[in-house]
Amino acid sequence: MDVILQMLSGKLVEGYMPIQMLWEMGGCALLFIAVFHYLGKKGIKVNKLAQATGLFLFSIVYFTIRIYPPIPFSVRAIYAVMTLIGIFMWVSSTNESWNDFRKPIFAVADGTTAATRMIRMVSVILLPFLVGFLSYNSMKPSADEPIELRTVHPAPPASTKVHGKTFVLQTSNSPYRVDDDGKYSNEVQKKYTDGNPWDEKAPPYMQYVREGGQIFFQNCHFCHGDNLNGRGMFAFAFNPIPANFTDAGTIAQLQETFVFWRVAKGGIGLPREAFPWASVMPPWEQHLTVDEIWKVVLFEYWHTGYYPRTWD
Amino acid sequence: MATLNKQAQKKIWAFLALGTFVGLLLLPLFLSLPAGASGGAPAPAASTAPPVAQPADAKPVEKSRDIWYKTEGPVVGAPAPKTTDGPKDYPRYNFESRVLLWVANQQHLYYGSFVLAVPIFCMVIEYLGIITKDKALARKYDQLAYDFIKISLTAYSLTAILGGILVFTYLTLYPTFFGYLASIFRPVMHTYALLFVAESGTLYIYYYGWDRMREGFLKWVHVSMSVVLNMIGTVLMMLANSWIAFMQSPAGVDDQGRYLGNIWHVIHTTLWNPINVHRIIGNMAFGGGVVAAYAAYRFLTAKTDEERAHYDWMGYVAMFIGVCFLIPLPFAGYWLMREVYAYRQQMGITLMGGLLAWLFIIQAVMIGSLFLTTNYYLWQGLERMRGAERYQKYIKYMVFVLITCFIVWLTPHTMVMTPGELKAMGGQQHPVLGNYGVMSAKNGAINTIITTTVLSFIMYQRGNKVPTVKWAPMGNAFLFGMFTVAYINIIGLAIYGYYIPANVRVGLSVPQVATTLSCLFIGVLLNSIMLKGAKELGPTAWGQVSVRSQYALIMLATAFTWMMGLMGYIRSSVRLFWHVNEIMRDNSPWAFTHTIGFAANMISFNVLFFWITILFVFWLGSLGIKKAPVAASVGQKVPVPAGSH
Amino acid sequence: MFNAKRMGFITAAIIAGAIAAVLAILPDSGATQLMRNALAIGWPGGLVIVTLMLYFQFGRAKDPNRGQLVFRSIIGLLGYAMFFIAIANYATNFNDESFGAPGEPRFLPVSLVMITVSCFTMAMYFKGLRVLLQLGGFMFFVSSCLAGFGNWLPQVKADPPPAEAEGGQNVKEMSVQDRADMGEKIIFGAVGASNTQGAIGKGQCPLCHGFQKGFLSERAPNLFGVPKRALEQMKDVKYSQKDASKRDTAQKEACPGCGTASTAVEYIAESHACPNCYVVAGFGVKGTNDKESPMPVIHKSPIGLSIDEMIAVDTWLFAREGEEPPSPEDIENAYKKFIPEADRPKPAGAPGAGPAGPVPGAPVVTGDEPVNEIFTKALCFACHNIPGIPGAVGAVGPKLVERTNAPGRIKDPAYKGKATSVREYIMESIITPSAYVVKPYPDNIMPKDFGKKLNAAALNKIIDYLAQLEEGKEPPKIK
Repeated sequence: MDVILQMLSGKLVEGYMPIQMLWEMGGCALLFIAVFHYLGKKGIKVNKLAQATGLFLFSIVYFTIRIYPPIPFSVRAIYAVMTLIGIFMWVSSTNESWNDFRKPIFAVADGTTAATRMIRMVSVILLPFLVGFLSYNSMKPSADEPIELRTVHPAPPASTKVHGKTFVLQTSNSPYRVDDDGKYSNEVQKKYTDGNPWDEKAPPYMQYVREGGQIFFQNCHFCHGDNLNGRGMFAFAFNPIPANFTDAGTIAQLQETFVFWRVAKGGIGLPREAFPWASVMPPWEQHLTVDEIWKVVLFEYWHTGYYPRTWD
Repeated sequence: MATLNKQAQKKIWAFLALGTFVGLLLLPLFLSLPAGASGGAPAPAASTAPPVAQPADAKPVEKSRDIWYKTEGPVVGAPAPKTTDGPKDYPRYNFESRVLLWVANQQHLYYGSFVLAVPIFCMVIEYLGIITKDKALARKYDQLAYDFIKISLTAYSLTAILGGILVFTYLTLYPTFFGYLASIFRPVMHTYALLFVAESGTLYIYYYGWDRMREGFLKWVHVSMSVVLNMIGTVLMMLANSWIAFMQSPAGVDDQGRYLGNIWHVIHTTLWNPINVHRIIGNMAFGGGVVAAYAAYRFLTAKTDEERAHYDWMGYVAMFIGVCFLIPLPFAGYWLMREVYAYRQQMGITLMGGLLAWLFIIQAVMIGSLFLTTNYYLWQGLERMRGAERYQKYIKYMVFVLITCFIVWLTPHTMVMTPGELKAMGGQQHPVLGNYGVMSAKNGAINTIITTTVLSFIMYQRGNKVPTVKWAPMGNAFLFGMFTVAYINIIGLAIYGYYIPANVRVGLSVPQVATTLSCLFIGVLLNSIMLKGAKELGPTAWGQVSVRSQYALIMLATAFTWMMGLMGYIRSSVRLFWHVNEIMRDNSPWAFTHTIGFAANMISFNVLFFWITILFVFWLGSLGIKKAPVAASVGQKVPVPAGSH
Repeated sequence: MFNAKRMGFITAAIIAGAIAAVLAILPDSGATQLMRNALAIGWPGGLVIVTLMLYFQFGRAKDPNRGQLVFRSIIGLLGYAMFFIAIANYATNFNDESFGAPGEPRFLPVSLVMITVSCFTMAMYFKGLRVLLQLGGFMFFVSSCLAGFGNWLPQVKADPPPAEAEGGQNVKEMSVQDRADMGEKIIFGAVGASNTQGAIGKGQCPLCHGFQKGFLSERAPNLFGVPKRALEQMKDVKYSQKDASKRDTAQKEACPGCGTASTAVEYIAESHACPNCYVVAGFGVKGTNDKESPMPVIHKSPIGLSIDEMIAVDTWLFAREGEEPPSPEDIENAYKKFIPEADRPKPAGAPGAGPAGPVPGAPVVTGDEPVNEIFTKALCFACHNIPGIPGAVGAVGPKLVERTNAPGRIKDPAYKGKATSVREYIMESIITPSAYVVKPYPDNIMPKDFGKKLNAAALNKIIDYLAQLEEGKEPPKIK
């Protein structure tokens, strides 16, 4: 209830934002339909072209201003195109509305009245300039940094060698993701989600999590942050900033061995498509033992509450 | 009763004739297979006869291990040649050989797929024509089937010509590689050629015998022949698939690429069957698209109302077939992907998360736009029916749902942004949109899109009809309830997916897909039953449909073609720098992987080249028409295929 | 409602204006260049259209349709010009490595858009081709959208990894990791298989040796930590590092004058070349008091590793302990010390190219081989003495003269098995070795998984052969 009130007050509520955005969009659409329905009843017919233009402008404003942090241009462009397609499908869904939509355009093209002739004249003069300006704008050299198509999670190698040992990524398992009897278990993390790693009598899994946590806070948290959200104290010295483990798109999408490989080999060990030069992550195999790397990975999963990906 | 018996007798004779025919036609295949296996494998013989004959200098047969099946076999072939960049292995023009091969291959494939798919429709439609009791309707079906095969006939010779061009391109530009493939697939290639002869013969008899075999028993033989035609066609395709499957996931050779004498292993590589299934279904969808485009072309050039009505109907049927096969396509694709992951995980990740992942984003765009276009076509179809106006007011809500889902579906996992935007956003992941980028959201979105498409279709079915069965209110309530529950279920599971481990999450797609499919089957079925004997508010006026709807068909056809080119490119380029994966390396200067943009340009070129030529074929076809198609008396009951399924 | 002719004038004006503006304002720009290229390709057709236009204008003074015809020629000329500019654009920008100047493939979709515009413009005035032009134009439009999207995404081109050097299997030129990988493959059959129990490769070492801490290793020493332990073993009195002749073993030296090892590498090399020279306590052939080793000589048949392969194996033994492995030259010298020139295996093509070892889980043999090959591949020879099989002189298990042995054993009161005939007894001994253990050999030495590794055909051949063997008689001929 509290959450709904917060949402209604126009706040983006942490944890509910994606679904809140969808609800808002739906609400706006309904409001839009209702307004024009009401106007129509009152006898004020708003031309479809005007309606469509209004809706389109509103969507642009919504995606630009409402959603925070700002969405990159590429995604906004995709959204705008989608909205345009949707608007086209809507106005052309029946002959009646399609004709209504086209009427002003044809009127301008044909120049039936003095006003439309004027508009036509202006547009004929302006159109080449507009095209010219757009071409000029897209071609002119700019000082912006180029867009990079960085594959953040590239295809890993089949196996990786750390401290002389070969780990086959597809078959290796964390030696510390173990149940109380010391056997590898996918379920153990679920079992101890709320466990207390500081408990003296904690099961082995929790003990390893504690050790991993100690390693994390001695080595990793400077960049990856106390909350593992990639906002450590040095984070903003880097570009791009360090990975945010609490995001659903990072370790939650990866196998534990993949993370192990990344930690052990660091940014320098990335394949070319992942731009090894764009990451300052050290190859931790030079500082940590194999066991320590496994433990820290174990801790990252436990702390964020995500589960490593498994291939069914 | 007597007539029925006669019918049954006819059927039996037809099937017997068919069986013999099939047997005779497939004989070369059966003969060559064991011959290939034993002829290529002197090993068993080696242990009996030859050593006795010449025991002195009989070399011990070297054995080696199959790279995939892990069985041992005698080494028969030479190892895969190690090529070097130069005119010996890679003779060339002053141009990228790979691009030339790309064009030749793709054109051959387009025509081949079309030629393979159309006879399958023909078979189904001709059969429908035979079993339909309504005489006028039967004639209409028959004419439609004939129209279909007529289009494919011109395309057939083009397919053969393009096949020849393809082989020459291989021989002249990649002689070493092609020589290696040919040395392994020797018997398969000959079988292929022989089967092609059989296919041609059957096709010509089938086409030119259409009028002579019009009545009675002969008609049954005729329709049986289409079965034979399709069987040969499918075997042909599967043989051709074995080559590409071998290139991608080789088997039957050892790790140096030496052939081990078992031709079945070479054909039956791990990706062969998934590719077969995927291709058959894909061909059907593609064929539907091309025929729909043909119908749209004829509709737009039609001079009379009758013609317009006929081609409107034809376009609808073709679109329907295309979309019917579009729906299982993702499942076949999923199977193929699973097998790719099982074969080499790296290959799977290169596809889905690595180098080629962006191409999958383009594919996502296309899948979404295919569904949008289908919906649009159905909505436009409401214009044909008097009384369908009452459904038009719902279109705007459906547009909203579809576009919203599409937006979620298209939100990329890795966003393209300038470093400045990256900083403003505070990290690679966006706190709101980032959640749309993961599998859970995508599953929810695409299932919602498909369910909405089903809803559109049900709406279209009802168009001008009002159910009169007694339980209509209950049926309506049930349909309403089912779709509501379906939407809640799909979206609810999508949200739930964020809170559980990945291995469980993967399992969530099963209930989601099950929901969508049960909506599809139960909804359409129930609706059809409800509409039995329904009151019609007005006739379905075939031909009275907007020009926009025909453009939607063209859009579907173009998008199918483009998607086929794209997916083919992805499947082929995932081998990266290998001719034969992990066995024969591509040492030509073109072993690199092109940029997405370049690939998109090439695919566009191929698509447009195909369409320019096939428009020419259509035009040729329209030259040969002397009389207008059998005029379907307007206002007569016209079949809607959905009702009969 | 919609006046096509006015629209046409407007379009014509815009296009002509744009072309003129580009030519006037930017005489040296790429766009001007493009138009020049287009003119170079398309001038003949353009000339024809211009001629037609002039003919309509002046040759048909009386034709009432003259204005219409001239207007159409103008539109046709415009469409034609656009079309060829598009083609010129395609040709120059096709590849970023185009001949001469580097192209910009990103601009190709622009061509498609131009053709779309050209098609739709012309479709308005050429009724006969209208539908074809519109359909074609629409397809160009759809393709341009998709291609544009593809080009709008940032571009990455992936180069293939550097090609392996020709015949690049030279073990000495490999990186340490590759060499160790090769060694692991020889021992276990696959890279990364060293943790898998039962994985076995060409070298067949894991049949007797354990490699991981705690792995079962009853037939031979566990090789975990051997590079370090070797140094201690060499100090053993029995090893007699000072003077090989004082050794109390069946073979005192690998070759006359070879001497003893002084480093860990040499120790391992000696062990491979001369297993009998020093037997770790408790692992000798039963009854010889550790004077004889059950291990075959590795560089000789039937295992027959080349020196290069043994270099790889030794590298792995060091590398996997996290130790710096000795250089391949050092290892090679160690082997050269213990293997006389004549004995050295010839490098048979590229090392590692031979048949890869059996893969874990897969049947070892197909059953089509002659029986001696089955014995070799199933590794029976390593432990058993089998008359008639070359190399099968093992002493870990009993001599397999079953026609002599079996009847007595079945009658033995200690016999708990179910066999009643010689054949059944052999079958039982292979599949469940513990059913009857011949004295004084200990139980649980023979692997219990031959039932999985051998198929029926192979078992049959083995049984056929063994059932014919009699003590003191000539073994049967192998077919």
